[in-house]
Amino acid sequence: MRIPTHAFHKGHAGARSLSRRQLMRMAAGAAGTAFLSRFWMPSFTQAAAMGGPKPIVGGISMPPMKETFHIFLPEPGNEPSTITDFDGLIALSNVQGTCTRSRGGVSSKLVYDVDLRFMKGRYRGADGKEATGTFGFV
Amino acid sequence: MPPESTMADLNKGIAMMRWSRVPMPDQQDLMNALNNGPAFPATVSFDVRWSGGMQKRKTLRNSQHRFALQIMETAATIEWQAERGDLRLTSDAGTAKTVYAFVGRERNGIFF
Repeated sequence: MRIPTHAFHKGHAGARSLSRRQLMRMAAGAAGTAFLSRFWMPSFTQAAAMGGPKPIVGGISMPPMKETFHIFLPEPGNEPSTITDFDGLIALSNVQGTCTRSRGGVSSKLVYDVDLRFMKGRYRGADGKEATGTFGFV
Repeated sequence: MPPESTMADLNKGIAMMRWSRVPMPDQQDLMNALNNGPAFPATVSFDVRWSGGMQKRKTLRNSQHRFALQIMETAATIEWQAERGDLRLTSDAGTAKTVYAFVGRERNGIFF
């Protein structure tokens, strides 16, 4: 599931839009199953209101959906962190490979494409207080 | 995440992220996930290692998005497993290929 950087154009408020065609290509590439963290979803913004780190301001938008997904693709030049007011270590990996799907004694081969990141350091949370923490994006 | 589940050394260009049986919903495909559709309880385990590769250092400062980054580009490998009931997906050893990976330090927002 690869989307080139040029597939995006800058939108308002730091968001970048993903066209329906690009989104469908993205979805078609996610064969088999999708295990997704929700920390980059719009609901993360609501979670931040209850305390903890705040999501980055910009992100990806996918018209006609109105939400901004608070993450940028793992491409050179893009911001890798998914949280703002952050100062610390970060590691990002975009890796592809094959995996084996098995159920009831039947197995098959699939391809996978994963984007895994972690952020470890200090941040200022939604409550205005500074804290330290480790956060993963899966 | 538990602090001990990760480690990073920017000078050496190495890092590790390891976690077992993390509860994570299986939303079957990306469209369903993006539309916040039905999800099934599942767990994932993963062991990611950053090291080797070109070991290329880069710095980036973006005033518009207010972030500064120092990174060392590396290679990355991953072993992972996902389970949902009797369904299991396991990465095949030795097939991981790095598309893009780095270990770095970022400052953003009020720390920019």
